[in-house]
Order: sequence, then structure tokens, then C-alpha cells
Amino acid sequence: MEKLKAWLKKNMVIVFLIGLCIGFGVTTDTFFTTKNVMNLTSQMAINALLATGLTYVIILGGIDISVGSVAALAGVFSAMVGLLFPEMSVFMSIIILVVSALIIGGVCGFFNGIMITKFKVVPMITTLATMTIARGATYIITGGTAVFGLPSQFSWLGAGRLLTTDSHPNGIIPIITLFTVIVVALMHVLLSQTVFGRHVYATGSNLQVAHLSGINTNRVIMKSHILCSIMAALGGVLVASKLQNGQPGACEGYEMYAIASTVLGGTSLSGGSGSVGRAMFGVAIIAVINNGMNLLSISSYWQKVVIGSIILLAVIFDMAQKKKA
Amino acid sequence: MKKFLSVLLSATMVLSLAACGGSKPAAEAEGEGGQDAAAEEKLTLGFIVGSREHVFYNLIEEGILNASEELGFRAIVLDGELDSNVTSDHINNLVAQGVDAIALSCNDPGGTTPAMEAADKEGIPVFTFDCTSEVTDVVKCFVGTDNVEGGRLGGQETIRLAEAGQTVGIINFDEPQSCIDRRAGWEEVVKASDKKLNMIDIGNYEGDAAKAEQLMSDALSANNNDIAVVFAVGDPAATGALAAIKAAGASTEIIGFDGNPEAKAAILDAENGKYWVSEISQNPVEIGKQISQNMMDYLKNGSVAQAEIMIAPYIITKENAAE
Repeated sequence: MEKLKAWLKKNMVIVFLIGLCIGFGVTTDTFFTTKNVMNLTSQMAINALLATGLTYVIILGGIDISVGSVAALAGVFSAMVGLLFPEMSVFMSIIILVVSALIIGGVCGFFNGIMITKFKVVPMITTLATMTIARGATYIITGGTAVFGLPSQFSWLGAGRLLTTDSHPNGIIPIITLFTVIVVALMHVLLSQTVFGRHVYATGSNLQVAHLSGINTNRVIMKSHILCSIMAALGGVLVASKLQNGQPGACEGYEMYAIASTVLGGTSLSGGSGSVGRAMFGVAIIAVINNGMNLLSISSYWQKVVIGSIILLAVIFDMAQKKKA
Repeated sequence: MKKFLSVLLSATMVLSLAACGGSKPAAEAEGEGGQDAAAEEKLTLGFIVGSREHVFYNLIEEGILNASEELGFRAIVLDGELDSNVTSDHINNLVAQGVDAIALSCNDPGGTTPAMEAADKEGIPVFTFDCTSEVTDVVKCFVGTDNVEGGRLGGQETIRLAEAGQTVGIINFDEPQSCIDRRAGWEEVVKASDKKLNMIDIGNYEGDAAKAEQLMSDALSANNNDIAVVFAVGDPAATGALAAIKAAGASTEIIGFDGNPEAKAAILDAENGKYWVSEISQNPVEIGKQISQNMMDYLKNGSVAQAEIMIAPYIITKENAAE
């Protein structure tokens, strides 16, 4: 009994998620349909990638608010590259999307890392600048217009589905979900099972001590920011693929949802603790609330109020638990 | 590392210089030989567009620049960033520069009215386009789209495409007045139809195509794909709806609004044109032309023929999308 209590306290976020699902399952007749559950997982994908990258920099005690803009820049970039290959195969489209994400994410992450480690600009200001610059660059390269006219192969990764049946002629399992699960799992293992992952926690817990014990903290910070931006850029190219269209205004404000998910998953904004896997529960909670309220046709204004309140409650609850422990 | 940094920094500087250089000719379109005496007699008109981040305003700017060549005036076009504070600063700066008249898209009438009234007091006539201000009477002339009428056209198209008793939906954007008007026009016509259509509200897409995709896929799940027609109050919403409909394997038809290039391309596309079948288009280039014409008329004659000019939106389908 005591054990159960302790588990419940530690995993309140999971209990809360299950409660939400049951609640929406009872109040709507569509929440638990295969189609809706699959939609839900595909709707989570973008935020899941953003939150995964953010977990790394938040554990370091930093922050990255540029993820939404970096995502948009990578999205329109991949769409523009895609326009150069009108005859692309599905395989080619995946290469275009992933390489675009690596280039844009790599450059933006490197820029953030350099500013933070060499020029000692605080992460909030660095990434605020990157957020503005990347968004501006997005409008400069597109001229403010959507990038359109891409072949349908381009949308395989973002909008395609596997397992076609008679009742589901378009397929059941979203490819975007599989892709995200694989990437997130790799990132989870990288953080929890490797030496690099240990260094991230050590640097986030106490920079001085980590440095004195021989960890190249600057390199850890640099690598984490590059990973974070690449995750954001992957999210952005998936949006472009899903919409078969590069939207310069895409992903505006997504950084806030991603930060909220990470915090909901128990990652501390003061650094040193957190996990990619647990951040996914935060991602799921936000997605379930959005999806459930859409199914119930609740106004978007109320959705904002509800999501904000839940984030606040979750953090207050989490803090109270930690104090007791 | 240091070497790389200096390369990076100088690249950034070159890029930003190039960016400034690139925007200048667009911002100040002067006739050839801006230096000579003849050019100095030209009237200078200041324009503040809602936001350079929207194709719609970029097309208005195109109309203004075309008119500046045709009618022989010097145009200064500024970006109001959809922010009444920025717009007000621009108005004050234009007054300080001594322009002959100012036209702005008055997206937030409450916030820009004081600056407009101050300009009027300085003797500089103020005009509005796209959005106007009801709270002041200094506006000499307003040129805009009749968005309620555009919504009505969307409603007519909805009725044309749907069969009696079917479900039809609308993707809204609850903040801009123009989109609120479109919704009102659509609801008015669809409600009055004797086809007894079941109207559903798909949600507020907040200008984000990905959000529209999510709203649409949730609405399709909630209705078992049984939505015959969706009216999107803006093209990003239609783009999102298209992706959702294709992913869900539904056969919902889309009516977009704006008349952006991607809408025309989708309507003409063999695959996407099965879903995105109709578009309500505004005529932004005409808005830019008309406002310039009226400013020049006012400066010449001291009055305009009509204080409010509403440019009617029109319907684009496969037949006329290529034009």
C-alpha cells in the first residue's frame, strides 16, 4: 500500500493522463476510435520532437525559445529544396527532409552554442535573437508566400500511413508517429544510457564541479544546443511534409507548448534533472486536452485557459512533492 | 575556431547588408532620375501596409507601386507589423518627413486614431485601406474588400456544393475583423438556405496551417468523415484542411478565401483539385491602385468622388483559376 502511494506520488503525471483519457472516453463516443487515437499520435509528433530537444538544454539549466522559428525555417527550406526535385522518389523525399533538418538545425544550434559558450550570452537572450533572426530569414527566403507545388511523394513521411485495410483505405499507422517514436527513443537512450548523457546531467547540476572533474562543459552545452535545434528542425520539416507546403508562419509559439510539456514531464527549469521519456507524458497530456476539447467543440479561448491552468497546477503539485521528499 | 567565427560574423554582416539593400528599392519606388528638378515636384504619398509578412499586403503594395508609375507620384511604403504602436510611429515619422498624404491599413482603429488625428491637424489628409476606423471622422476615403459579401459568396458556394441535409463546416479565425465578417456572411447565407444544412464550427485556426490541420482531422473523427463542405476563412486554413482530409480519406470539398497563388495551384492540381474546388478571392492589387488614385484625386480637387469604395470579391474555380 505504501509502495503504491509512493508510486502514485512519483507518477502523478501518468495517473493524470489516464484520468484525462477516461474522461474524454466517457464524454465523447469518438475519443477511443482507432482513427482518433492514431490522429492523436500524429498530432503529438511535432511537439514531441521539440520537447525532446528542449529536455537536453533545460537539464543543462538553459532554455531554447528559438525552436518554433528554427522549425519554420527548416520547413520552408526543405520545401524549397523539394521544389528542385519534382520527380523525387519517396526515398529521395526522406533524404531531402532529413538533410534539410540537419543543415538548418546544425547551423542554428551551432550559432546558439557559440553565443552561449564563447560569448557568454545567456541562453534566453541568445535564443530570443535566434528566434527573431530565423523567423526573419524564413520570410526573406520565401518573400512571405507559402512554398507550394510539391509532389505528393514529399508528404509520405509527414502524412503517409501504413497498414491499409478495407475499413481504413488510407492506412492506420501514421508514418510520422513511427518516425518520431524512433527518434525520441534514440534521444532517450542517448540521455539516459551514455557517458554524454551523464555529462549533460552533471553539467546541469553544477557547472563548476562538472568542469573541475574534467568534463568539457562547453562541448556538452554546444552539442546539446545542436541536438535541440536539429530536433526542432526535424519537427519543422515534418510540418512541411504533412502540409505538402512550406508555410513561413508555421510553428509560431510552439516553443511555449514544448517548454510546458517538458516541465509537465517533471524536468526542472533550474536544471540537473529530467528525462526525455517523461517529457512525452507532458506532450501526451497537452495533445489529449487539445484533441478532447476539439471533439467536444469547446472554444479555443477556453482551451488556452484550461491548458495554462493545468501547467500551473502540475508544476505546483510537482514542487510540493519534491519538498516533501 | 576564431577564424571560423570571423567568417561567420562577416557573412552575417554581408547578409544583413544585402537584406537592407534588397528592401530599399521596394520601399521607396522613385521614378527614374529621382534627383532632378522635375522629380522634386512630384507629390510624395506615404503608405503603411498591415504587414509585409502577408502576401495580401504585398499585393496591395504592388498595386500602389504600379500606380506610382502610372500617376507619377513618389511612394513610401512602410510595414505596420499589425501593431498599432508601430503604425502610429510610422504615421508620425511620415508627418515629420512632410509627405503630402498618408494612407494606412487601420487594423487596430483604437490604437492608431490619435496619430491619425494628429496628422490631420498638421494638414496632411489621411486615408485608409483594407481596414478603416469608425472612431474618427478624419478619414477622407476608405478602399477595402467587402468581407461580409465575400463570406456570402462562400455561403453560396457551400450551398451549391452540398446536398440537402448534409453537414458543412467553417474554420474560423476569431481575432481579425475581416475574418469575423466573412464568417457572418457565410452563416447568414447558409442558415437561410432551404437545403437545411447541418452547420458545424470546426474551430479557430489562429492563422496557423498546422493548427487547421489538427482541427479538421478532429472534426472529421467526431463526424465519421461525414462533412460535405468546409469553408476556410483564409488560405492557410484551407491548406491545413486539405492535408487532414487527404489523410483521413474523406471526400470533403474545400472553399478557401484570399486568392493566394497556392490556392490557384491546388485548384488546378489533378489530385488536390478534387478537394479544393473553390476559392473566394480578394483583389488586393486593385485596392492598392484605387487608394492611390483617390489620394491623387483628393490632392488635386480637394475632395473624392466617394468616401467608401468596396471592391467586390469574386469566386475562383477550375474554370478561371489559370487566369
